[in-house]
This record gives sequence, structure tokens and C-alpha cells, in this order.
Amino acid sequence: MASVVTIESTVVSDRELVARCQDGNAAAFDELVRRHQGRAFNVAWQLLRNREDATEVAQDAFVRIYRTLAGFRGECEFTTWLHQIVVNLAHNKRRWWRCRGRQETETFDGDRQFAAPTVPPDMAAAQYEFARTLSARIAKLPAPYREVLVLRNVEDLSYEEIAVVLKCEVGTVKSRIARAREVLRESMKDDGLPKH
Amino acid sequence: MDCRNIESDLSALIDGELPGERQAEVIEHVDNCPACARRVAELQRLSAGIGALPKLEPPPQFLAGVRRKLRPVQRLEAALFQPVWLKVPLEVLAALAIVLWLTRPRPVGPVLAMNSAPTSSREMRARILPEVQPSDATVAGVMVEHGDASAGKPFIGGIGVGGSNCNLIDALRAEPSMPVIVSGESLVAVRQRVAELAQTLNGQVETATPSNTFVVRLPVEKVNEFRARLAQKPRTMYATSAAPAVEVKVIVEPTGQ
Repeated sequence: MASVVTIESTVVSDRELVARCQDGNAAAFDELVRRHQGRAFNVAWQLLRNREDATEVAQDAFVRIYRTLAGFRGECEFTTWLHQIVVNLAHNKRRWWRCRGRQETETFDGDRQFAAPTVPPDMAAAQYEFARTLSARIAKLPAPYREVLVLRNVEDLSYEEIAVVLKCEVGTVKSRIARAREVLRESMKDDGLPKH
Repeated sequence: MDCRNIESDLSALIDGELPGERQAEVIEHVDNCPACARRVAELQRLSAGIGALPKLEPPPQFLAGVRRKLRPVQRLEAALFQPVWLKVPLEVLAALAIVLWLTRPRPVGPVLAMNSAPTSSREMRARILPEVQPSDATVAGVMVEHGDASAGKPFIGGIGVGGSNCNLIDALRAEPSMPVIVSGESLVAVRQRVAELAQTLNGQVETATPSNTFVVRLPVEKVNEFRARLAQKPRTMYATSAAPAVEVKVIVEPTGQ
């Protein structure tokens, strides 16, 4: 690939990178992948809780983006589009699991986040335990609840952006987030929420 | 304001997603309701906790994996989106090949492969006519299937629309031992006409078993002429109606050998 993208000292916007990709600049596409691979992978992992499947889904999301890039007209942010594809592919993956009689909980490697043997130095032991429990409880939420919580609290998307990603009404997003938090709050009561 | 009805509003409040007027109402309620205030505090801690969860790093070979998955897509693209100077001639060649194939020369004469003999002449004509080319006009309506002596598979002749049928005659000459199937409006009518033809050539007709099989005994030197004239006879020789009702197998047996 002879084409070379020059990433200036100023940060090139996603929109500009997309435009360069549409002009056939392969290096610009690589830059898009580098920039957003962590985001795509983490959303996929939060939704699937399986590292291998999350990697596959996130990579497939970029492949799909590459294939449909010519038709992207910038009606929404690149990240919203990426989220939409990752969530859809995660849906498909869960459907694939169900078709093969595989329970979602069987696939979870929920403690991967907390694989480190010691408590991170910047995290108090109680906080660490709380985060660990919270992560496990999120993993057990129904998929629609997990999706909205991840998009809102991990990816920091607005209700409107979440509605675009999930292709539903803003009101639906609002009620689903509230219900998801309520279910999570109830499930955390046994373990006790931190009192600070 | 009823605490049970503002569950989703409390959640939206901590996300800053309530419209101004509604937000003021909910805040006023929370300030005066210890239970809702406690719930808001718990929701805030949960949301903050979710946002602060450690993130996993994607595998180091992530980008390489994407590139690997893209290779088949790029190969397909390369095949579909070739430069115009290459693409246009290729398309012209493909179109030319299709035209040549469609206009390819076909075997002269209605030599058809059939799995079974048709039940009526109308069906025979329906089968053959789509295959007949304008140059085959003289044989339109006549069907011949190459016979196979070892398999007992006969020539099949139908109703001519007039004129000679050189292809049929040639085919019959090529394999004189094969029976010929002709059609007519009734067994009696066909027998009578086949018999007339046989008699003019010093032959005679016998009805064999099954009854739609005639055996024509002819001097050996007359066999080819008989078979040729059988095929040459105009349609009225065999049938007076458009849809003959019977098909008869004519077996020619040379005598005086």
C-alpha cells in the first residue's frame, strides 16, 4: 500500500479520517482502528463477557465499517455508528450462542477485569471489592439492560445517542436505563453499597 | 408527587436528561423526600461505579487481525473495481461470448433426445416446434429420434407438414433396421395407408402384437424406398385431423435375403 496518511501534530478528526478512507487512504483506516479499537473491544466485552468473542465482534465491526464506508454520509458521529455496529454484532453473537444451546453465563469470563492478584494502588480495598461485585452483577443483567448501562455509564453517550444506536425512542432509553439501575440496585443490596 | 411514579425521572435526573421544568419539580421533591434522596444517592454511586470499572485492553494483534479479515474483501474489490481500460474490454468480450453462444450453429434437422415417446402428435409438436429453426421449415412438425438397435430404441416419425424430409430419410437410411413410428387418426386409417404404400412396392402389412405395431414385409431392394416414402408422405397421408389419435410402430422386414 503506497498511500501514506500524514497525521499532523494537531489531532485529525474522525470525520476527516473517514473522508480520507473514502478516498482510498488505507493508512487513515488503520488510524481509525487504532483510535477506536479499545472502545469497540470494551463495549463488546461488556456485552459478551468473553474475550475471544469480544475480539472477534470488535474486529468484525471494523471490517463492516470498511465495507460500508463509501455509503457513510456523516449523519451521525463515527463513534455512534461504531457503537451501533458493535451492539448489533454482539446481538448476533448472543443469538448464535442461543442457537447452539449455549447459556450466556457459561461464556462469561467476568473476572478478567480483576485478574490482577493485588489491589490496584490507587483503589482502596473496599472500593476494589465493590467494583468487582458490581462487574459481576452487571454481567448477570439481561442484555437490553446491560446495553443501556454500558452505553450510558461506560461510553458516556446521551439518551439521544443511545436511541440512535439502539434504534428506539428516547423515552424507551430513559425507562430502560431507570429499570436497569433499579434491578442492579436491588441486586447490590445483599452486598451493600458503599456508604461514602 | 408520588415517589412510585418518578423512578425513571430520578435516573434521568442524575444523567442530566430531564427538561428544565421537570428537573426543577423533581429536585424540589427529592429535597423534601428522604427516601428519594437516598435512592438518588445510591443511583449516583452505582453510575459512578460503573463508569470507573477498569477497562480491558484489546489484544496487541488487534489491528493485524482486522487487516487479515479485510484481505478477502479487498481482493473482491480489486476484482470488481478494475480500471476502466481493463474493465470495458473485458465486459465487451463477455458480451461477445454470450452473443456467439446464443447464435451458435445448431444441428440441422429436428434430432431430439427424448426420454419417452409422446402420447399424441399434439404433444410431439409442442415438444419439437420450439426447437425448429427457420432453416428447418421443411421438416417442421416431424420428429426423429436416433434409434439404438441394441437398446431396441426406435426412430420416431411424426406428421410432416408437407414437402420432403431429407433429414429423416437420411437418418432412416443410416439405420435401416430401426422401426419408424407414424401417427394418424385411427389404427385402421394408418394401416390402410401404410398398406397402400407397401403394396405399390410389392410388400404386405401384418398387424403384430401389440396391435399398434405393423410389420411390413418388403423385397430387400425396396426397403429404403419404402422408408423414405413413408417419411416423405404429406400429412394427409396419415391423418385428416389436426390431432392424430394413434401412433403406430412400423417395422420393416426385408424378404428375399
